[in-house]
Amino acid sequence: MHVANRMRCVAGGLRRTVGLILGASAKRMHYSLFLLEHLAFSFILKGLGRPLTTRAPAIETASLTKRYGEVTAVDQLTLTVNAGEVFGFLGPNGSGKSTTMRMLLGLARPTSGVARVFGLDVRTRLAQVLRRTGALIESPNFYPFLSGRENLRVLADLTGVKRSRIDAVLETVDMTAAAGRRFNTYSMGMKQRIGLAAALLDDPELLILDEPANGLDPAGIVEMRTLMQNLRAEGHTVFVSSHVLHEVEAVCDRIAILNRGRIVAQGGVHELLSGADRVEVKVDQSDKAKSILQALPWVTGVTDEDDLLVVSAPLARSAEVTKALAEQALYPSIVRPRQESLERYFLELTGDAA
Amino acid sequence: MIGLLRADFRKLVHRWMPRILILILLALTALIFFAVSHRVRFRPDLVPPDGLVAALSLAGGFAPFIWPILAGSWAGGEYSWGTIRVSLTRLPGRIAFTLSGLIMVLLTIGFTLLLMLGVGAGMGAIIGAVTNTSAFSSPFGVSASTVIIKMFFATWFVSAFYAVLAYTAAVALRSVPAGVGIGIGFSVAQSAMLAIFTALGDPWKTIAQHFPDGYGESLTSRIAGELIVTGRGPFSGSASSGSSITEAIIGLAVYIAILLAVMLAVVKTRDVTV
Repeated sequence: MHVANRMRCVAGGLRRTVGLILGASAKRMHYSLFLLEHLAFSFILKGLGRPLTTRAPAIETASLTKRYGEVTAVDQLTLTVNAGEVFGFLGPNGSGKSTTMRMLLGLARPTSGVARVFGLDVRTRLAQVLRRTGALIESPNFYPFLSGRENLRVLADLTGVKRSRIDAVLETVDMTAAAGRRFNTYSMGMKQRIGLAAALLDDPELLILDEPANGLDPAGIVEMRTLMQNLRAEGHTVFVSSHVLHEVEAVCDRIAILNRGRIVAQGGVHELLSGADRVEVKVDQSDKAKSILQALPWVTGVTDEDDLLVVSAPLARSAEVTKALAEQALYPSIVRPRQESLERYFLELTGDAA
Repeated sequence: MIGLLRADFRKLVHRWMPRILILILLALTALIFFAVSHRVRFRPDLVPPDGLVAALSLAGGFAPFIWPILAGSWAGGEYSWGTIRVSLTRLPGRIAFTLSGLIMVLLTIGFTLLLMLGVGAGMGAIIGAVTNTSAFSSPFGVSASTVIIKMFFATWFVSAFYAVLAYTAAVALRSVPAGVGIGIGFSVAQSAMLAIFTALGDPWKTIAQHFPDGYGESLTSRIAGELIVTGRGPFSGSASSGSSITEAIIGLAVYIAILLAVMLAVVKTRDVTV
């Protein structure tokens, strides 16, 4: 149980006890104490800077669909992103990632379905949603005739963010030195950093980042990873799409893979990657070996991959693979569990589209 | 809305294009005053207070060509740079965002007209002093000041129509060239249509008087005619042709209202796809 809820239960118990002790005026006392309790909790939660609704999932969609004429960009998307996690949103180009993010930010209206951010319906309570959300959608677009700092000031003017916050976010993205240069003189990586600074400007609870590593050099990609880890440590939620899959694997708690507008996999990174047990086998006469292995009842599939056979079978039965082949005078030189990578997993799920 | 206007003002003061447009307008006004001053019989129209009305009259003449550039590029730029997406991920008010830009354009037009008055007054005073010419009107009496104020707002109103037209086109088509092109092209097309309709005679000629250009022309020339005597020079007004002042104001207001309605409907209902 959440700490605040537990404290509320204890306070509720105290309130009832005190009410009972005081007897006749218990009802009136009950309400007075209820009011005091409510005020006290509001004060505590305000002090912690956490609104009551924080405990709702950061993002929740149900059957979210977006159609452009005959084309269905997002198809019945049901997704939950928990508060405080880094969630990877993956998919080939044109799979509907950016459209989903646009719907979450009110830039595009869903054809059907529901999108909620911190429990707030995006359609009806967009103002509250945006107040708690920072976003970098697709390429970072800013006024080319303004400097990086001036661009952030323009955005700060829109929501009344303090000037000191601009310096802080420029420092975070390591752009303080170049902040006075015009935006159109920046490299792609620098533009990306200003985009990230803009997303961080309001110190949002939720960050929606669409390809934040675009244009970043290797050092920048590492910095981005560290930043996301730091944001998670500070209690922020990060919803990120990226094609840099090893970074996603390194930093994300959970992922969803989208293909042609539909979710084809969703879950914890390690859980997904360990879900399909596979054994790699290297053996001469691979055709013969393949037919032997396919005949085993606990083998669900055998595929050729370079000079290896990839056997879909429980890892615990690796020794039985060796035995089955040896009984037919085939002696494998390699039998090992397959180290699944996110990249391979992604390509398997989206292979024909990627 | 104050935050939005502050943001728009920040963009305005850092952008070169509005400054260049304003400088071009002021330079053209000064040059035209200089050129007209060579014709002795037109000189009184240039000297204050008549010269102020003459400057505003020139501003009205340039309005169909200058303000579509500013308004079209202001609105279209948000789409071509993609900055509307960045702004709207922080701010839910699409209508407020769009109107704020338009308000800034209209305020810029007002500010430019004040500068035009300054140039008119300065150039007129210099021409008057150098050539020893005085205006036909009594210098800045009650009626002259009233006419100048009326002319200021009339010119601003006519300019506003062309700005709203280009702004709406740029928003609807999400493009700077579309906004500027339609804004300026509309005026050119109107001139051609006006010539054709006038040649066709009534009822076509009467219909042509209800074109925005017709209303704008009637509004400014009737007010200018209250100070600058009809038929005397290039800035002379006309107190008798076309629609009345009230008709012209209502006519232009209806056109502006239609354009605003189209623009806001588009902004409200359309996805931001840039």
